Amino acid sequence: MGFESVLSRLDGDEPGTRHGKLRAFQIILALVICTEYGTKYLRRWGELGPDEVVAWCAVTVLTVAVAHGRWRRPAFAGIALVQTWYVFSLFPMAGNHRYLEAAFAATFAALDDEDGAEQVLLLRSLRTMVLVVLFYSGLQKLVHGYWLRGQFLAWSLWQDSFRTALEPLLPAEEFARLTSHGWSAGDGPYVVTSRPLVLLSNAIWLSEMALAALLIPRATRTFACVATCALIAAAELVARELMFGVEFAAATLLFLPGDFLRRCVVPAAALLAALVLVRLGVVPEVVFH
Amino acid sequence: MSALKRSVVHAGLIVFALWPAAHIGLVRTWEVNPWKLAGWGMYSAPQIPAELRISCFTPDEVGVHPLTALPPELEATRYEYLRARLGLGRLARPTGLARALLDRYPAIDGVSIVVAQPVLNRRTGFVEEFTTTYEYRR
Repeated sequence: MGFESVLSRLDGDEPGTRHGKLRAFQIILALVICTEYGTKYLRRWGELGPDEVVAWCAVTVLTVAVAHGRWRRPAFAGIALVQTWYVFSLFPMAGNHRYLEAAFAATFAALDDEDGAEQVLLLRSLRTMVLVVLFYSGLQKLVHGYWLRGQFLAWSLWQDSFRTALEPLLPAEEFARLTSHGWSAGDGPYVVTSRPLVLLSNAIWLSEMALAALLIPRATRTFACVATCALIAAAELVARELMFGVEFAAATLLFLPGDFLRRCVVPAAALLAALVLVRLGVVPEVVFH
Repeated sequence: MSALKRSVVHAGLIVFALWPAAHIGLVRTWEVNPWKLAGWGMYSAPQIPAELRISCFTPDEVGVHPLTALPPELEATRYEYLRARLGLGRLARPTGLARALLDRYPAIDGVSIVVAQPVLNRRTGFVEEFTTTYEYRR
Protein backbone atom coordinates (compact mmCIF):
# COMPACT_ATOMS: atom_id res chain seq x y z
CA MET A 1 0.00 0.00 0.00
CA GLY A 2 2.91 2.31 0.80
CA PHE A 3 4.54 1.89 -2.59
CA GLU A 4 1.18 2.31 -4.28
CA SER A 5 0.71 5.68 -2.59
CA VAL A 6 4.20 6.78 -3.72
CA LEU A 7 3.33 5.82 -7.28
CA SER A 8 -0.01 7.61 -7.07
CA ARG A 9 1.88 10.91 -6.86
CA LEU A 10 2.53 10.41 -10.57
CA ASP A 11 -1.19 10.43 -11.42
CA GLY A 12 -2.98 13.47 -12.76
CA ASP A 13 -4.55 12.87 -16.15
CA GLU A 14 -7.50 14.66 -17.64
CA PRO A 15 -10.50 12.30 -17.80
CA GLY A 16 -10.53 10.02 -20.82
CA THR A 17 -6.98 10.80 -22.00
CA ARG A 18 -5.03 7.87 -20.60
CA HIS A 19 -5.71 5.37 -23.35
CA GLY A 20 -5.05 7.89 -26.12
CA LYS A 21 -1.64 8.88 -24.81
CA LEU A 22 -0.68 5.28 -24.12
CA ARG A 23 -1.60 4.25 -27.66
CA ALA A 24 0.36 7.18 -29.06
CA PHE A 25 3.42 6.21 -27.06
CA GLN A 26 3.07 2.57 -28.09
CA ILE A 27 3.11 3.50 -31.76
CA ILE A 28 6.04 5.92 -31.41
CA LEU A 29 8.02 3.37 -29.37
CA ALA A 30 7.45 0.57 -31.89
CA LEU A 31 8.31 2.87 -34.82
CA VAL A 32 11.54 3.98 -33.12
CA ILE A 33 12.60 0.39 -32.45
CA CYS A 34 11.78 -0.64 -36.01
CA THR A 35 13.69 2.35 -37.40
CA GLU A 36 16.68 1.59 -35.19
CA TYR A 37 16.98 -1.89 -36.66
CA GLY A 38 16.34 -0.60 -40.18
CA THR A 39 18.90 2.21 -40.12
CA LYS A 40 21.51 0.11 -38.34
CA TYR A 41 21.16 -2.90 -40.58
CA LEU A 42 20.79 -0.95 -43.84
CA ARG A 43 24.32 0.33 -43.19
CA ARG A 44 25.56 -3.27 -42.98
CA TRP A 45 23.44 -4.62 -45.83
CA GLY A 46 25.11 -7.70 -47.29
CA GLU A 47 27.01 -8.67 -44.15
CA LEU A 48 24.07 -9.40 -41.85
CA GLY A 49 23.94 -12.71 -40.03
CA PRO A 50 20.79 -14.87 -40.19
CA ASP A 51 19.90 -13.98 -36.59
CA GLU A 52 20.02 -10.27 -37.45
CA VAL A 53 17.80 -10.75 -40.50
CA VAL A 54 15.29 -12.69 -38.39
CA ALA A 55 15.34 -9.96 -35.70
CA TRP A 56 14.82 -7.22 -38.27
CA CYS A 57 11.92 -9.05 -39.95
CA ALA A 58 10.37 -9.89 -36.58
CA VAL A 59 10.55 -6.30 -35.35
CA THR A 60 9.01 -5.03 -38.58
CA VAL A 61 6.07 -7.45 -38.33
CA LEU A 62 5.65 -6.72 -34.61
CA THR A 63 5.64 -2.96 -35.26
CA VAL A 64 2.83 -3.42 -37.77
CA ALA A 65 0.94 -5.42 -35.16
CA VAL A 66 1.42 -2.66 -32.55
CA ALA A 67 0.27 0.02 -34.99
CA HIS A 68 -2.76 -2.07 -35.97
CA GLY A 69 -3.58 -2.46 -32.32
CA ARG A 70 -5.44 -5.71 -32.05
CA TRP A 71 -2.43 -7.87 -31.09
CA ARG A 72 -0.37 -5.15 -29.47
CA ARG A 73 0.28 -6.93 -26.17
CA PRO A 74 1.72 -10.14 -27.69
CA ALA A 75 3.56 -7.92 -30.17
CA PHE A 76 5.18 -6.02 -27.32
CA ALA A 77 6.10 -9.32 -25.68
CA GLY A 78 7.85 -10.21 -28.94
CA ILE A 79 9.60 -6.83 -29.10
CA ALA A 80 10.80 -7.25 -25.50
CA LEU A 81 12.24 -10.66 -26.44
CA VAL A 82 13.99 -9.29 -29.53
CA GLN A 83 15.48 -6.43 -27.53
CA THR A 84 16.64 -8.88 -24.86
CA TRP A 85 18.29 -10.98 -27.58
CA TYR A 86 19.96 -7.81 -28.90
CA VAL A 87 21.31 -6.85 -25.46
CA PHE A 88 22.72 -10.34 -24.93
CA SER A 89 24.17 -10.59 -28.43
CA LEU A 90 26.10 -7.34 -27.94
CA PHE A 91 26.75 -7.75 -24.22
CA PRO A 92 28.17 -5.69 -22.55
CA MET A 93 28.20 -3.01 -25.25
CA ALA A 94 24.48 -2.63 -26.09
CA GLY A 95 23.31 0.95 -25.68
CA ASN A 96 21.19 1.83 -22.66
CA HIS A 97 18.21 2.72 -24.84
CA ARG A 98 17.88 -0.97 -25.76
CA TYR A 99 17.43 -1.87 -22.09
CA LEU A 100 14.89 0.92 -21.72
CA GLU A 101 12.99 -0.21 -24.81
CA ALA A 102 12.92 -3.78 -23.49
CA ALA A 103 11.55 -2.49 -20.17
CA PHE A 104 8.89 -0.32 -21.85
CA ALA A 105 7.86 -3.18 -24.15
CA ALA A 106 7.70 -5.70 -21.30
CA THR A 107 5.48 -3.30 -19.33
CA PHE A 108 3.12 -2.88 -22.29
CA ALA A 109 3.00 -6.67 -22.65
CA ALA A 110 2.28 -7.24 -18.98
CA LEU A 111 -0.40 -4.62 -18.38
CA ASP A 112 -3.65 -4.09 -20.24
CA ASP A 113 -3.95 -0.48 -21.44
CA GLU A 114 -7.78 -0.77 -21.50
CA ASP A 115 -8.33 -2.23 -18.05
CA GLY A 116 -8.89 0.57 -15.52
CA ALA A 117 -6.55 -0.54 -12.73
CA GLU A 118 -3.89 -1.92 -15.08
CA GLN A 119 -4.06 1.20 -17.22
CA VAL A 120 -3.31 3.35 -14.17
CA LEU A 121 -0.40 1.12 -13.11
CA LEU A 122 0.89 1.10 -16.69
CA LEU A 123 1.10 4.89 -16.83
CA ARG A 124 2.64 5.05 -13.37
CA SER A 125 5.26 2.47 -14.38
CA LEU A 126 6.24 4.27 -17.56
CA ARG A 127 6.48 7.59 -15.73
CA THR A 128 8.60 6.02 -12.99
CA MET A 129 11.03 4.74 -15.62
CA VAL A 130 11.32 8.22 -17.15
CA LEU A 131 12.08 9.72 -13.74
CA VAL A 132 14.69 7.08 -12.95
CA VAL A 133 16.52 7.55 -16.27
CA LEU A 134 16.46 11.34 -16.06
CA PHE A 135 17.53 11.50 -12.42
CA TYR A 136 20.38 9.00 -12.69
CA SER A 137 21.57 10.57 -15.92
CA GLY A 138 22.27 13.72 -13.87
CA LEU A 139 23.50 11.87 -10.79
CA GLN A 140 26.05 9.82 -12.75
CA LYS A 141 27.46 13.04 -14.21
CA LEU A 142 27.73 14.46 -10.71
CA VAL A 143 29.31 11.47 -8.96
CA HIS A 144 31.94 10.71 -11.59
CA GLY A 145 33.12 14.31 -11.41
CA TYR A 146 33.84 14.97 -15.08
CA TRP A 147 31.16 17.66 -15.43
CA LEU A 148 32.02 19.85 -12.44
CA ARG A 149 34.82 21.74 -14.24
CA GLY A 150 33.84 20.95 -17.83
CA GLN A 151 36.38 18.13 -18.27
CA PHE A 152 33.96 15.83 -20.11
CA LEU A 153 32.88 18.50 -22.58
CA ALA A 154 36.54 19.41 -23.15
CA TRP A 155 37.34 15.76 -23.87
CA SER A 156 34.29 15.46 -26.17
CA LEU A 157 35.70 18.05 -28.57
CA TRP A 158 37.22 15.17 -30.56
CA GLN A 159 33.72 14.76 -32.05
CA ASP A 160 32.64 17.11 -34.85
CA SER A 161 29.19 17.76 -33.43
CA PHE A 162 30.60 18.76 -30.01
CA ARG A 163 33.23 20.96 -31.66
CA THR A 164 30.60 22.82 -33.69
CA ALA A 165 28.31 23.35 -30.71
CA LEU A 166 30.92 24.30 -28.11
CA GLU A 167 33.38 26.38 -30.14
CA PRO A 168 31.41 29.63 -29.54
CA LEU A 169 31.78 29.13 -25.78
CA LEU A 170 35.56 28.87 -25.84
CA PRO A 171 38.31 31.42 -26.51
CA ALA A 172 40.03 30.60 -29.83
CA GLU A 173 43.37 29.62 -28.26
CA GLU A 174 41.71 27.38 -25.68
CA PHE A 175 39.61 25.71 -28.37
CA ALA A 176 42.74 25.09 -30.44
CA ARG A 177 44.58 23.68 -27.42
CA LEU A 178 41.75 21.34 -26.36
CA THR A 179 41.19 20.00 -29.87
CA SER A 180 44.89 19.20 -30.25
CA HIS A 181 45.06 16.77 -27.30
CA GLY A 182 45.09 13.00 -27.78
CA TRP A 183 44.06 10.10 -25.55
CA SER A 184 47.47 8.71 -24.64
CA ALA A 185 49.08 8.88 -21.21
CA GLY A 186 50.37 12.41 -20.59
CA ASP A 187 47.98 14.06 -23.06
CA GLY A 188 46.04 17.04 -21.77
CA PRO A 189 45.22 18.97 -19.78
CA TYR A 190 41.51 18.78 -20.55
CA VAL A 191 40.96 21.74 -18.27
CA VAL A 192 38.61 24.55 -19.21
CA THR A 193 38.95 28.17 -18.13
CA SER A 194 35.88 29.35 -20.09
CA ARG A 195 33.25 30.27 -17.51
CA PRO A 196 30.29 29.82 -19.92
CA LEU A 197 31.37 26.24 -20.67
CA VAL A 198 31.79 25.39 -16.98
CA LEU A 199 28.38 26.91 -16.25
CA LEU A 200 26.79 24.94 -19.09
CA SER A 201 28.47 21.75 -17.90
CA ASN A 202 27.05 22.13 -14.39
CA ALA A 203 23.67 23.34 -15.62
CA ILE A 204 23.19 20.10 -17.56
CA TRP A 205 23.50 17.59 -14.72
CA LEU A 206 21.70 19.90 -12.35
CA SER A 207 18.81 20.33 -14.82
CA GLU A 208 18.44 16.60 -15.32
CA MET A 209 18.12 15.92 -11.61
CA ALA A 210 15.95 18.96 -10.94
CA LEU A 211 13.58 18.25 -13.84
CA ALA A 212 13.13 14.67 -12.63
CA ALA A 213 11.97 16.13 -9.31
CA LEU A 214 9.81 18.80 -10.96
CA LEU A 215 7.98 16.22 -13.09
CA ILE A 216 6.36 14.83 -9.94
CA PRO A 217 4.23 17.71 -8.51
CA ARG A 218 1.26 18.49 -10.73
CA ALA A 219 1.87 22.22 -10.34
CA THR A 220 5.30 22.06 -12.03
CA ARG A 221 4.70 19.10 -14.32
CA THR A 222 3.84 20.92 -17.53
CA PHE A 223 6.82 23.29 -17.17
CA ALA A 224 9.12 20.35 -16.40
CA CYS A 225 7.77 18.41 -19.38
CA VAL A 226 8.46 21.27 -21.79
CA ALA A 227 11.87 21.97 -20.24
CA THR A 228 12.85 18.29 -20.40
CA CYS A 229 11.89 18.08 -24.06
CA ALA A 230 13.91 21.26 -24.73
CA LEU A 231 16.88 19.73 -22.90
CA ILE A 232 16.56 16.54 -24.95
CA ALA A 233 16.34 18.54 -28.20
CA ALA A 234 19.44 20.56 -27.27
CA ALA A 235 21.32 17.40 -26.28
CA GLU A 236 20.41 15.67 -29.53
CA LEU A 237 21.80 18.56 -31.57
CA VAL A 238 25.16 17.53 -30.14
CA ALA A 239 24.84 13.84 -29.32
CA ARG A 240 22.81 13.02 -32.47
CA GLU A 241 21.10 10.04 -30.86
CA LEU A 242 17.94 11.13 -32.60
CA MET A 243 15.91 7.97 -32.20
CA PHE A 244 16.50 7.79 -28.47
CA GLY A 245 15.67 11.49 -28.33
CA VAL A 246 12.30 10.94 -30.01
CA GLU A 247 11.53 7.99 -27.77
CA PHE A 248 12.49 9.69 -24.52
CA ALA A 249 10.74 12.95 -25.41
CA ALA A 250 7.59 10.94 -26.18
CA ALA A 251 7.89 9.11 -22.86
CA THR A 252 8.30 12.45 -21.08
CA LEU A 253 5.15 13.80 -22.75
CA LEU A 254 3.23 11.01 -20.99
CA PHE A 255 3.42 13.28 -17.93
CA LEU A 256 1.22 15.94 -19.54
CA PRO A 257 -2.33 15.88 -18.17
CA GLY A 258 -3.92 15.96 -21.62
CA ASP A 259 -3.22 13.76 -24.63
CA PHE A 260 -0.94 16.09 -26.56
CA LEU A 261 1.20 13.05 -27.33
CA ARG A 262 -1.43 11.87 -29.83
CA ARG A 263 -0.61 14.88 -31.97
CA CYS A 264 3.06 13.90 -31.95
CA VAL A 265 2.63 10.53 -33.68
CA VAL A 266 2.62 11.84 -37.24
CA PRO A 267 5.57 14.27 -36.78
CA ALA A 268 7.55 11.52 -35.03
CA ALA A 269 6.77 9.05 -37.82
CA ALA A 270 7.78 11.66 -40.42
CA LEU A 271 11.10 12.30 -38.66
CA LEU A 272 11.83 8.58 -38.41
CA ALA A 273 10.94 8.09 -42.08
CA ALA A 274 13.35 10.91 -42.94
CA LEU A 275 16.12 9.09 -41.04
CA VAL A 276 15.44 5.94 -43.08
CA LEU A 277 15.61 8.02 -46.28
CA VAL A 278 18.95 9.46 -45.11
CA ARG A 279 20.26 5.95 -44.58
CA LEU A 280 19.00 4.93 -48.02
CA GLY A 281 20.81 7.92 -49.54
CA VAL A 282 17.60 9.44 -50.90
CA VAL A 283 18.10 12.65 -48.93
CA PRO A 284 21.47 14.25 -47.99
CA GLU A 285 23.54 12.62 -45.27
CA VAL A 286 22.98 13.78 -41.71
CA VAL A 287 25.11 12.24 -38.97
CA PHE A 288 23.00 10.40 -36.39
CA HIS A 289 23.41 7.36 -34.17
CA MET B 1 -5.71 -7.05 -11.68
CA SER B 2 -4.33 -9.81 -9.50
CA ALA B 3 -2.30 -8.98 -6.39
CA LEU B 4 0.51 -11.14 -7.78
CA LYS B 5 0.72 -9.14 -10.99
CA ARG B 6 0.69 -5.88 -9.06
CA SER B 7 3.50 -7.13 -6.80
CA VAL B 8 5.60 -8.30 -9.74
CA VAL B 9 5.29 -4.90 -11.43
CA HIS B 10 6.13 -3.11 -8.18
CA ALA B 11 9.17 -5.35 -7.68
CA GLY B 12 10.29 -4.67 -11.24
CA LEU B 13 10.03 -0.91 -10.69
CA ILE B 14 12.00 -1.11 -7.44
CA VAL B 15 14.77 -3.06 -9.19
CA PHE B 16 14.68 -0.58 -12.08
CA ALA B 17 15.11 2.30 -9.62
CA LEU B 18 17.80 0.72 -7.45
CA TRP B 19 19.98 -0.93 -10.09
CA PRO B 20 21.60 2.37 -11.23
CA ALA B 21 22.75 3.01 -7.64
CA ALA B 22 24.43 -0.41 -7.61
CA HIS B 23 25.80 0.39 -11.07
CA ILE B 24 27.51 3.52 -9.71
CA GLY B 25 29.21 1.28 -7.15
CA LEU B 26 30.38 -1.07 -9.92
CA VAL B 27 31.76 1.87 -11.90
CA ARG B 28 33.73 3.16 -8.94
CA THR B 29 34.94 -0.24 -7.74
CA TRP B 30 35.55 -2.22 -10.94
CA GLU B 31 35.77 0.54 -13.56
CA VAL B 32 32.61 -0.73 -15.25
CA ASN B 33 31.68 1.58 -18.14
CA PRO B 34 29.12 4.14 -16.88
CA TRP B 35 27.68 4.36 -20.42
CA LYS B 36 26.64 0.71 -20.42
CA LEU B 37 24.52 -1.82 -18.50
CA ALA B 38 21.47 0.37 -17.87
CA GLY B 39 23.06 2.65 -15.30
CA TRP B 40 21.90 5.67 -17.31
CA GLY B 41 25.37 7.20 -17.12
CA MET B 42 25.68 8.00 -20.82
CA TYR B 43 28.15 10.88 -21.37
CA SER B 44 29.03 10.98 -17.66
CA ALA B 45 32.68 10.04 -18.19
CA PRO B 46 35.10 9.55 -21.09
CA GLN B 47 35.23 5.99 -22.39
CA ILE B 48 38.73 5.25 -23.63
CA PRO B 49 39.68 1.80 -24.91
CA ALA B 50 42.48 -0.10 -23.17
CA GLU B 51 45.61 -1.48 -24.84
CA LEU B 52 47.27 -4.83 -24.31
CA ARG B 53 50.96 -5.64 -23.84
CA ILE B 54 51.58 -9.34 -24.07
CA SER B 55 54.70 -11.27 -23.10
CA CYS B 56 55.42 -14.99 -23.20
CA PHE B 57 57.32 -16.88 -20.49
CA THR B 58 59.86 -19.28 -21.96
CA PRO B 59 62.04 -22.02 -20.39
CA ASP B 60 65.23 -20.54 -21.95
CA GLU B 61 67.63 -18.23 -20.10
CA VAL B 62 65.89 -15.09 -21.44
CA GLY B 63 62.69 -16.05 -19.66
CA VAL B 64 60.33 -13.41 -21.04
CA HIS B 65 59.70 -12.44 -24.65
CA PRO B 66 57.44 -9.51 -25.52
CA LEU B 67 54.92 -10.50 -28.19
CA THR B 68 55.06 -7.56 -30.59
CA ALA B 69 52.51 -8.88 -33.08
CA LEU B 70 49.57 -11.15 -32.39
CA PRO B 71 48.90 -14.00 -34.86
CA PRO B 72 45.97 -13.00 -37.13
CA GLU B 73 43.85 -15.95 -35.96
CA LEU B 74 43.92 -14.54 -32.39
CA GLU B 75 42.82 -11.03 -33.37
CA ALA B 76 39.15 -11.87 -32.87
CA THR B 77 39.86 -13.19 -29.35
CA ARG B 78 41.87 -10.05 -28.54
CA TYR B 79 39.07 -7.81 -29.86
CA GLU B 80 36.48 -9.77 -27.89
CA TYR B 81 38.43 -9.22 -24.66
CA LEU B 82 39.00 -5.50 -25.31
CA ARG B 83 35.28 -5.10 -26.00
CA ALA B 84 34.40 -6.87 -22.75
CA ARG B 85 37.01 -4.73 -20.92
CA LEU B 86 35.48 -1.53 -22.29
CA GLY B 87 32.08 -2.54 -20.96
CA LEU B 88 32.84 -4.47 -17.79
CA GLY B 89 36.09 -2.86 -16.68
CA ARG B 90 38.19 -5.02 -14.38
CA LEU B 91 35.38 -7.55 -14.08
CA ALA B 92 36.52 -8.80 -17.52
CA ARG B 93 39.66 -10.95 -17.36
CA PRO B 94 41.77 -11.97 -20.40
CA THR B 95 41.62 -15.67 -19.57
CA GLY B 96 40.30 -16.67 -23.02
CA LEU B 97 43.08 -14.78 -24.77
CA ALA B 98 45.72 -16.33 -22.50
CA ARG B 99 44.34 -19.81 -23.14
CA ALA B 100 44.37 -19.18 -26.89
CA LEU B 101 48.00 -18.02 -26.71
CA LEU B 102 49.04 -21.08 -24.69
CA ASP B 103 47.35 -23.32 -27.27
CA ARG B 104 48.97 -21.42 -30.16
CA TYR B 105 52.49 -21.56 -28.69
CA PRO B 106 53.01 -25.01 -27.08
CA ALA B 107 56.68 -24.22 -26.25
CA ILE B 108 55.96 -21.37 -23.86
CA ASP B 109 55.47 -21.78 -20.12
CA GLY B 110 52.96 -19.00 -19.66
CA VAL B 111 51.83 -15.56 -20.69
CA SER B 112 51.67 -12.15 -19.08
CA ILE B 113 48.97 -9.78 -20.28
CA VAL B 114 49.25 -6.18 -19.17
CA VAL B 115 46.07 -4.17 -19.64
CA ALA B 116 46.97 -0.50 -20.02
CA GLN B 117 43.89 1.61 -19.36
CA PRO B 118 44.09 5.34 -20.14
CA VAL B 119 42.01 7.34 -17.67
CA LEU B 120 41.30 11.06 -17.67
CA ASN B 121 42.31 12.41 -14.27
CA ARG B 122 39.35 14.57 -13.30
CA ARG B 123 41.49 16.77 -11.03
CA THR B 124 44.48 17.51 -13.29
CA GLY B 125 42.76 17.00 -16.65
CA PHE B 126 45.65 14.88 -17.92
CA VAL B 127 45.28 11.38 -19.34
CA GLU B 128 46.97 8.84 -17.07
CA GLU B 129 47.62 5.17 -17.64
CA PHE B 130 46.71 2.50 -15.13
CA THR B 131 47.94 -1.02 -15.71
CA THR B 132 46.66 -4.37 -14.49
CA THR B 133 48.86 -7.43 -15.00
CA TYR B 134 47.44 -10.91 -15.45
CA GLU B 135 49.79 -13.90 -15.47
CA TYR B 136 48.81 -17.33 -16.65
CA ARG B 137 51.07 -20.39 -16.27
CA ARG B 138 50.68 -23.61 -18.14
